[in-house]
Amino acid sequence: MQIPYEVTARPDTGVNNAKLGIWLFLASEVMLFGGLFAAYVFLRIGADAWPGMMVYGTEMMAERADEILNVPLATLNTMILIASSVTMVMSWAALKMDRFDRYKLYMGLTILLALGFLVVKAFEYGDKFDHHWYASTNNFLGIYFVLTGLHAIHVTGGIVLNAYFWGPGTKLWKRGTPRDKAHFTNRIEVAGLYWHFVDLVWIFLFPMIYLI
Amino acid sequence: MSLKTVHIIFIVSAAAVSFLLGLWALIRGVADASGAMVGMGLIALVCGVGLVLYGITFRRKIREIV
Repeated sequence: MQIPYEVTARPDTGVNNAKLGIWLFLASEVMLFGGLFAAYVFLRIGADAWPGMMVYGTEMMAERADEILNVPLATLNTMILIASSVTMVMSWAALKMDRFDRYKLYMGLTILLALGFLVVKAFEYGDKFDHHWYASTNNFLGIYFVLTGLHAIHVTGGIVLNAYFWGPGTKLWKRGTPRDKAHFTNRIEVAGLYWHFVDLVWIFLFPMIYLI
Repeated sequence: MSLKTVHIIFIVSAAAVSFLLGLWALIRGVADASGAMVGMGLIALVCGVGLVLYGITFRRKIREIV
């Protein structure tokens, strides 16, 4: 028995099953990150100094976030994520044009760029730990590690998802029927929507934590 | 909302952040007399313009595909 509305849009919602599912999921994600962004705003409003004292019992005070955080590394990560969103949309467009070889190339690049993001993030975290700066050090580092850590977990989830669609998930496309190809293309569009959400969170997070 | 529309929204947001980063780095660079920071600011502004041009090209090209 075939599941209805896997490829075609439901008449009442105007979207197929996968797209309805991803938008409901992304709505819950907006609430999760929205809550944390709100926590950041209220912590900052209520703070006497921001980022504040970095080592208790010493004179070490930070007046600006860029005294603690590495803006050039974060800028590099921003560029990596922007590039990955471009390759992600290219992989979807390649399937629309029935170019499976191009799809593999662009999806592979998306996965590599995401891995690159995590490597840069690991260097950034390593630098903080070398200075003995942890989430427990002060409110600024607490919200920094929670927001960027949660975002990194989402990036990891995206890598797992995209790696599946780059490897074993392509069986659906290789069946070769127009319906299966359309179904696979829908899956990539949905994966692309998730990936763009993850990238968009970083686009808000980067200026908020690192610059302002 | 399709991936096409979401991608355009993302590129507009990325361009806005690029311009913001450019201005931030220029102000910081001038205040601290740091040539590297001024250079980063200029690169960010150029990237912002590049993203706007890419967005316009993407919008035109994707209409032919999807």
